[in-house]
Amino acid sequence: MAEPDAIVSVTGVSRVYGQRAAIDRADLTLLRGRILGLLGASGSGKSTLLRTIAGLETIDTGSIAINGQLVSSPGRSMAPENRSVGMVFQDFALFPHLTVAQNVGFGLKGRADRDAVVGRLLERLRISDRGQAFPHTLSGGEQQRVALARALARDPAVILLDEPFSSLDGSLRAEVREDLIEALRDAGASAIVVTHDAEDAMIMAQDLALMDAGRVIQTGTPHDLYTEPASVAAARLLGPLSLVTAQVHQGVASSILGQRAVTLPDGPVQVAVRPTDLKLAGPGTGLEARVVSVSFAGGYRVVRVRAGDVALCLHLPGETPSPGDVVRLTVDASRLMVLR
Amino acid sequence: MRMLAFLAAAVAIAPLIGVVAAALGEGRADIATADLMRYAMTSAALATLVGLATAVFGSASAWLVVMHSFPGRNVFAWALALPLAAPAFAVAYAYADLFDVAGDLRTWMRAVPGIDWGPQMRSLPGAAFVLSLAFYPYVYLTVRAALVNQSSQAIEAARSLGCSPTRALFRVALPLLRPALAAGVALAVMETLADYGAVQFLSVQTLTTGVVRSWFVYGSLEAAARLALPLLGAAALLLWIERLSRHGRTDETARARWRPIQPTPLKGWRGLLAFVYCLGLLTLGLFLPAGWLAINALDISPDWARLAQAAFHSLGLGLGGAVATVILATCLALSAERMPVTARVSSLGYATPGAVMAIGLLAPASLLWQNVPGAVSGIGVGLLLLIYAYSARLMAAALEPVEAGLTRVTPSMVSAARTLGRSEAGAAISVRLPIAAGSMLTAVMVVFIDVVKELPATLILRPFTVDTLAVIADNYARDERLSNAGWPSLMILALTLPAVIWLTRKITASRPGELHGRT
Repeated sequence: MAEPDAIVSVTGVSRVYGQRAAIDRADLTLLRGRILGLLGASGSGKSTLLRTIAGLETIDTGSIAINGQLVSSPGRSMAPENRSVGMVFQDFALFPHLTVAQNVGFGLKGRADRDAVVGRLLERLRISDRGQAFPHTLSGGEQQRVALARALARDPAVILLDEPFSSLDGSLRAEVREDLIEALRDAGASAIVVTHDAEDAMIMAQDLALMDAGRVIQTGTPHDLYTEPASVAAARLLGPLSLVTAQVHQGVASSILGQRAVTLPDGPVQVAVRPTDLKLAGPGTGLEARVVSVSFAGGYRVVRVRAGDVALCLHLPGETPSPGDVVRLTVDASRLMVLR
Repeated sequence: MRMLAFLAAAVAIAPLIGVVAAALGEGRADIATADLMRYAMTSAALATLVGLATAVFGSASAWLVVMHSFPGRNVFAWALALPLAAPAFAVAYAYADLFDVAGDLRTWMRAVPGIDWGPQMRSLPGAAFVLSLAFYPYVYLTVRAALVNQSSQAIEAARSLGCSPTRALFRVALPLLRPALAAGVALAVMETLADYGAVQFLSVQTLTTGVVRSWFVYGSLEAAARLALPLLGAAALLLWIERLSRHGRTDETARARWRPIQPTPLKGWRGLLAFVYCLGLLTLGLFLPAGWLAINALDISPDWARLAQAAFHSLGLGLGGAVATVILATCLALSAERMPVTARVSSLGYATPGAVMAIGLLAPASLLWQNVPGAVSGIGVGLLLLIYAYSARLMAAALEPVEAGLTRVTPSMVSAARTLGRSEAGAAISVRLPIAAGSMLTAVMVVFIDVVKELPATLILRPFTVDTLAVIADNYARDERLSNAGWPSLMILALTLPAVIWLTRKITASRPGELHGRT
C-alpha cells in the first residue's frame, strides 16, 4: 500500500470530534531521510495529524504505517511507547525534575550504553557543558536542542516536530532553525515538521504538505507549491497575494493583469499574484492604479493600490510613489497563478 | 489506575451513605423534634457568629500583612496561621479555666481591684470566641493567598483611572477578594459544625454533640444518624459555596505578567497599632491559652506512661492516616481530569463532621466486629476503621495540594514520556509523581495535623484499649481535671506545631509566577 522507501504512510485518515472532523481523509507520505513540512493555519488539523502518527490520538478512518508496519487503524492503535517515533513538543515538555542529561537519557532506561549515547548526543547538539543543569536554567534555543536530543536518543524511525519555533523570538528563530536543520541532517533523520509559518516550512522542508480544514490539499516541493498552487487556500498558505477575477475562453485566462494560457474549461476563474511579482511600468503601458497607502517594512515598502474596484498589494524596493499618485503596474504573465 | 480512583472515591462516599441508611432505618430513634430544632438552632447561631468573627479578623490580618509593611510583618506573615496547631478543645480548656469564677484570675480580681465580673466562657458567645480564635487562620490563609495572587496591576489600573488608594481598595481589591473570603469562611464554618471537644466542654449543645451523645449515652445509632442528617446537608451546602467561590477565580499569573504588590509603609503609631493587632490575635489564639495550660500543667506530675503511650498512638495514627489518605487522594488526582465528578463527590467527606463520618461507619463496623474473632484482630480492625474514617474525612484536604502539584505536569510532558517508551502507569511513576512529590508531602502534613487534633471520630471508633492524646485530654476535661488535661493538649501542640510552621512558612514563601523551585 505504500512506496518502498516510505517511513510514514498516512492513508485516508480521519479524526472526528463530535460533529467536527479535525482531520478529514488525509494522505501523507514521508520518505526516508527527508524532512516533510506540514503547513497549515491554526485549527487546520496539522498538530492533530502529527499526534495520530505519534499514537497520542486514535483515528476513525484510514490507516497509518511506520516503516511498513501498521500502527493505527480504526479501533486499533499501537501505544505511543511501542512506536518508533521521537517527538519534539511545542513547549518542549522537558521534565523539570530531571537534569539535561537525565532528560536526554529518559528514553534509554535500562540500556547499558545510556551514558555513552547521552554524551554523544549532548556533544552533537553542542550542549555538553549543560548536562548537569536543570531545564529552567537554559535559554530557549538550548531547551529546544535538549528536546531534540531527547527525541533522537532512541534512534526512532521518524522525528515529529510540533511548531518547533513558536516559543522563540524573531532574532533567535533563524539561528535555531539553521541549527535544527543541521542537526536533523547530521542524524540522517526522517522528520515531519508542523508549522503555520510559510517561511519556516519552505526553508526547512524538502517536501511540503498543505493542510486546510482537516484536509491535505496539496503536496510537492516548496518551489512547486509556491509557484503553482492548486487552490486559493493553498496559495494563501504560502504567502500574501492579491486576487482578481478572470475569464477563461478557449484555453486563455484573461484578467486586468494580463493573459495566460491554461488547460481549463471556459468559465470564471481567479488569478492570484504575489506582491513581489507586481512591478511599476513605464508611462503608457500596464494597468493604471491609484496609490492608497505606503508603509515602510525595512528592506522594502508595502504599497497598496486600487485599480477600479480591485485592491492590489506590491512590495517595492527603493523609491516608491506617494499616496494619491497614479501609477502603472505590470506583471510577468508566467507569474500569474490561475486558480479555480 | 481508574479502578483505584473509583475505590478512593468509594472510600470517601461509603460512610455518608451509611449515615443516610441508618437515619432512614427502622429503630428506636426517639429524639424529640424540639430537641433536634434546639440543637440545630444552636449550631446555626454558633456557625453565624464564628463565620462573622473569622471573616473580620482573618481578612483584616491578611490585608494588613500583605498590603502594608510594619515591624514584624515578615514573621506575622506565617505566624498568624500558627493557631491551626492548637486543637480547639485545648483553647476552650484554657479560657474556661482562666475565667473560672473560682479560678486564680477571678479570685485575684475580686481581692485586688474588687471587680467580680468576667466573661462567661461556658456559653454560646464564649464558644464562638474560642472557635473564632481557633479557626480564623483558615480565612487568613485563603484571603492572603488571594491578595498575593492578585497582581498589583488591577490596583494600579484603578489608580490610573482616578481612584484613591482607599477607593481602589473598595472598588477593586475587595470585590476581587470576595470568592476567597467566602471560601475561607466556609472552611471555618465547616470546622465549627464539626467541632465536638470545645463545645462539649463549654456546655453548648450543638448537632455534633447531639450525635456523639446519642451514641454514647443512649446507644442509638438511628438517633445519632438523624441528628447527623442536617449536618450532612449543611456540609453539602458549604462545599457548594466553597466550590462556587472558585468558579470565577481569576488566575492573574496566567493572564498577565505578575508583579508583586508594593506594600504601603505604616509609620509611627499606625505601624505600632498593626503590630499590636497581629500580636494580640496571635496571643489570644495561641500564646495565652498554651501558656495558661502550661503554667497549670507544671503544678502536677502527669502519668507519664499513659501519656507516652497515647503520644505513640497519636503519632502512629497521624502518620498512618496521613499516608493512607495521601495515597488514596493521589490515585484520585491522577485520573481526576478524566473523571472530575468522582473527585468532586469525594470532597463531600471534608465538609462532613468526623462524628457523622464515624456514625456512618458504625453499622458496617459492627458487622466486622461480630464476624472477626479475637481481641488482636479486633484492635486491628478498629484501627483500620479509624484510619478509614480519617481518610474519608480528609481526602479532599489532601486532594487539593496533590492536584495543585500535578498541574505542574503539562499534558505534553506526559505525551513526551509516552513517546519515549513509558506506558501510562510508567509516565505517572517517572514523571507525574516525582514532579508532584513536594505537594504530596504538603498533603501528608495537612492530614497529619488534622488527625492528631481529631476527637469525635476517634472517640466513637477507637478500640477501647487505644487512647490518643486527644482522647486522654477529653477524659481529664470531663472530670474537670484541667491541669491534667493540659499535658496531652500541650503534647498535641508539640506534635502539630512543627508541621504547621513548616507548612505555613512554605505557603507564605511561595510566590505566584514562580514556575520552578516551588514544589
